[in-house]
Amino acid sequence: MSIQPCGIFNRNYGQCMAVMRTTPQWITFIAFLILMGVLPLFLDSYILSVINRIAIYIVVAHGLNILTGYTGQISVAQSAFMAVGAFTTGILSTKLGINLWLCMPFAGIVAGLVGILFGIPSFRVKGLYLALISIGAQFIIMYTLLHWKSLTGGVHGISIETLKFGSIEFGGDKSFFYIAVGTACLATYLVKNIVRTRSGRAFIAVRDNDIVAEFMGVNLYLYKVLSFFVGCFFAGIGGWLWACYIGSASIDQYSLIDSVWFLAMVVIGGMGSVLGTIFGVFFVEILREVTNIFGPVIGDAIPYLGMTVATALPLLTLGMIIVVFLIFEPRGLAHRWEIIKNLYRLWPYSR
Amino acid sequence: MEQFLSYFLPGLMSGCVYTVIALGFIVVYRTTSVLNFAQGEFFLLGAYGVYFAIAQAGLAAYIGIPLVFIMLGVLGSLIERFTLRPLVGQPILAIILMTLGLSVFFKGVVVLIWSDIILPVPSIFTAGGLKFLGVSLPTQYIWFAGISICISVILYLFFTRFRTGLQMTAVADNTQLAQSCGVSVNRVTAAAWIIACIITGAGGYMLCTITGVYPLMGELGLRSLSVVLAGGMESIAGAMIMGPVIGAIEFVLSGYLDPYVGGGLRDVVAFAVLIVFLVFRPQGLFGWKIIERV
Repeated sequence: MSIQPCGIFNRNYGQCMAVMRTTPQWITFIAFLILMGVLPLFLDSYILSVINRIAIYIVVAHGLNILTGYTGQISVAQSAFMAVGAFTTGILSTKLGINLWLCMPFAGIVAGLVGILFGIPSFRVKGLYLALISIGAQFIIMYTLLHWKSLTGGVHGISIETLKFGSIEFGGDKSFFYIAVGTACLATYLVKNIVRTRSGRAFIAVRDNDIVAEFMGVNLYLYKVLSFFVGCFFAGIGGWLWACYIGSASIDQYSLIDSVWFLAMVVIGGMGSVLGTIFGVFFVEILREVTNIFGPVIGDAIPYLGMTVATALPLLTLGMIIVVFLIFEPRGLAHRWEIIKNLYRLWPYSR
Repeated sequence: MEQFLSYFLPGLMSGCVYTVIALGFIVVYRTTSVLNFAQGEFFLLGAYGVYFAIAQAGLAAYIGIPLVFIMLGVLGSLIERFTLRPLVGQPILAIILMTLGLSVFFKGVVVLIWSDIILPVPSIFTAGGLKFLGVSLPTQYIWFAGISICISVILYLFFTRFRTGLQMTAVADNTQLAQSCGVSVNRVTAAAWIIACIITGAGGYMLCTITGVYPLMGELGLRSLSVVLAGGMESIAGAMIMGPVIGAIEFVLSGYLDPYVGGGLRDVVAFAVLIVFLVFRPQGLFGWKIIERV
């Protein structure tokens, strides 16, 4: 329960449920939107590329947060579902000549349906066993994409033309920023509201105690399937974004380790928290950028280690960060953020 | 028939390596209910360690190999003490992610030290071939089968006859009751991790003498999860039987179907088996626990 400033009273249910309650909140929100509008004009394309990637990953991580954080169905195959979205985009746009914009919902829906296919065993098993199924799903999906050469192009993948709207091309980092960040904002809005609806409360009930949830009239099968669909839908949209961003659908970026990255983002940010997911993605991605920068530097400084440092450093830091967070901050950055916020609000009466 | 046997027999024998790796999973799972996804990396470390000891440090095989396995055991007990013991009582996702994180970390360590090229692992098994039922079998495969049967039998006796083994079964069955009967749960857990890491390292070493070792082999170690599942998560006999069976299924299916699907079927057959078993018989063929069903 968040603490509101003095003088905020709930006069009706609408006010009680509203996300934005105070004028400063509205001001910050509008300032954020304006900032996002003008940001590409000032930043260079390297920082914009980092932000674009963060925005795309936010969309995907939101999906995993609904599936794992809210519904409690562990999935280690999120990047494979992202790949399904990317390849759906590639196949529809090149083989059938469908407009790239129209591919977006299809990418989400196909990924969602594949997600349901691998979510069906969740009727019978849960917890560890579901995680095992998703690891199997990861390998089977990537195998299919790699070996169905007539459809997916195998190792070469499918190249995708630039996203266009009228005469505007969304090719470079600067123009794609609006697409990526816009979609990320839209996804955040959707997720924030999905978890406040009846379905969202049902998800949380399934996570906390499925027997009680069923007893209280939550259709367990329906909501598990729905959760898999929604989670993988977001992954598919993320795949669409990624395919449009790099201009091709290829199998390189969707390995098991990438799925572990996504799970790490959700857990580091804080499970079952929309804000936490965003924190988690920022934290992990910025860490990855830093290691990408420092890897070659360390490699130069200590020639004995050679250039393998550049490949090894991201893995070492990610593994280390997961271990440290699980031991020392299992509730994630969102929890830490709440503590800091309360410290500031209650000052000087906080501890 | 001859063609079938030429797929079937090597599959049966190389599947014995799956049994060894699966036993690594089972020993830890039986005792602590932790399924260690980092097992794939211990598998790697076993192979890389032997490569380091023999090819790089120049030790003799009979000193180097035991030394590597002792180091692996020490590493296993350290991991248990400092990363997994703090997580006792945490939700299952935390434990899964912890072992996944460890696997990423150790993959980083391996890449850092040995780079990501394929390295030949020095073999202690005599090379050569043997004709059996008209099929020529590499001698290594026969070694694998023999070693894996030995390890399985020793482990089976260990769990049914020896004090520590019985204590492990007790801890698995009811931790609190075991503790109140004077079993040191911490010590037993550490012992389970040490044994599991050594066994997995041995399996990794055996498999990598054929293929050479490279960081992605760790993911192949995950294939033996299907053996664990199909045989039953706690059953040593299950792993003994299902390892060769799944190895044979892999070889036969990929032998007959690879020309039609473009190769590489071996990599996913095991995962398909895993999903089929989880859907239709989650407790495996010989598992003794009733799985949490929904």
